[in-house]
Amino acid sequence: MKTQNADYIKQETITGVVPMLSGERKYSFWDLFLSTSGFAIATWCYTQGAYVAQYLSFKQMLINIFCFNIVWVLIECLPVLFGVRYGIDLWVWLRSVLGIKGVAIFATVISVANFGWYAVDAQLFASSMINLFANFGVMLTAPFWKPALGVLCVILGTLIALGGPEVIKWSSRILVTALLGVGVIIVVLCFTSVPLAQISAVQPALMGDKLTTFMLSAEGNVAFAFSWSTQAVVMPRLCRTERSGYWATSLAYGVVAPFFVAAGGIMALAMFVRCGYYESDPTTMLATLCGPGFALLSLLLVAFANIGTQGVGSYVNCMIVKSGLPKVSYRLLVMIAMVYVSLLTVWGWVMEHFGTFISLAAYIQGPIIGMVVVDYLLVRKRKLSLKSVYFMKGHDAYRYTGGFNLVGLGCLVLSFALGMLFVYNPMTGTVQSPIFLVTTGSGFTALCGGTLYGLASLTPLRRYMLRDRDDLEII
Amino acid sequence: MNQENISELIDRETEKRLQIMQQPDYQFPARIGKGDVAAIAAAIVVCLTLIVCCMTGVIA
Repeated sequence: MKTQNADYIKQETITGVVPMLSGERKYSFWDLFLSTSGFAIATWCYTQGAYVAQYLSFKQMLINIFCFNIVWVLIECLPVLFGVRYGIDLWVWLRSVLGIKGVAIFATVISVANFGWYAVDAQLFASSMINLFANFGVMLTAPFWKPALGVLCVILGTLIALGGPEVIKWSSRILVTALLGVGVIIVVLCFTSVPLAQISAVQPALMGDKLTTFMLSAEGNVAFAFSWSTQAVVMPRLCRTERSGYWATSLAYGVVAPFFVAAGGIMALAMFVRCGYYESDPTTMLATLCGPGFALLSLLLVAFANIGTQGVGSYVNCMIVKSGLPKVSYRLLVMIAMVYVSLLTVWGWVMEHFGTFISLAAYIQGPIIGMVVVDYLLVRKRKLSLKSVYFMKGHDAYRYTGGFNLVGLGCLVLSFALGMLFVYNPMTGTVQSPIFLVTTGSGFTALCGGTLYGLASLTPLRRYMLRDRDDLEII
Repeated sequence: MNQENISELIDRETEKRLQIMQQPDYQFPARIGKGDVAAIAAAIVVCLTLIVCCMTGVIA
């Protein structure tokens, strides 16, 4: 029984919500950087890049992709610092901002939404594999093989997730290093296949005036950056120093993922120069630009990238759900996630409404990013009552109204509604006000959420929000 | 293990760990330095400048 308990505690530390002590950390900068990069690199990067490439000049495309991602990722990753310091993830801190029931609801809602990404990932894996086989003369019938290969991707990813951080660490060391090499080779091949001068001379299509077109593309990139936010503070708790945790996470999401988005954009432009149409599937692009032999290279890219993403994504999102529902077994959650993502993959709705889906998800994540950054830096000034956040006996600072921090929830709902009604409607793609041309829709929700929360802390509501100041025993 | 045991086990282990973290000799992971903060701020400023250049048409 004692051994069983010890094993369970070990499991709960690594795949649960129990805080991780300094001496237990196993991830260096490179371990976290490679694992997180493995998570970030998937075929959807190319889909995103090919989309932006149609509407912007070459220079503007690169700036749009890299700069919006870097700015928002550097900001949204600031909570990594407390994740590393206390060995907890974002959702444990969020108990102080949303309340325990608020976390249970939003952790579940956001993970349910996040898993939509992994259905897209599995579908892209399936369609790329079908295209790849077609290049070699093997015709796979899409109605059967698309869902079958998609589900296979989900199952292989689930096996990685069941292995936990150690399996993720070792698989990432090998796979991601190979993937980064492949990414560089792809960009070099594109530029040697189609001269840079021709790629940069492509005239973009316009969606309104130039500024509107630039900001509509930015909306996609900001939503892309936000999509990592609620998942970004789960793995850094395994890291040994704040510096390695912060930079490994920021560089993976802010530079490596956008690099592959840019590679997708460059390939799409090269395809346009060569064939007169835009293409987002890397297997088709590589086979067309560089010959069928290079399709093997894309096999490596598509198979390893998408399966790795499934694995890390499943681990991270099941951990998020566990933050809200700590008593549920990690393995059970991973298995439920496998069934859920498989169903989404076969259904196909998320893939058909990809742009709307990522913007809508970003509208929930945006206010949370804004509030947690303001809460960490300005309101709580980097100090949290760890005993209250775990609801230890006699420590009740975060026992809010019925389990909900009404101020935090109010800011979240208000930011979502204001963004949707008065700035940009992601359901219809309608720009509602000139504010969008400065902040984008998703960016507005983050700025609005942070501002409202910060302002609330300057009013008498401060007493409701900050009942932990005389309960800061561990800092 | 039933649900009650799991709950008690997690609570007990969490409490034990918080007590360890409360000890004066507990070593928290090293904090980020001023250089890191300067690098973050510089990267954001450079990116925002490039974005504004695109928005105003300076970079076409």
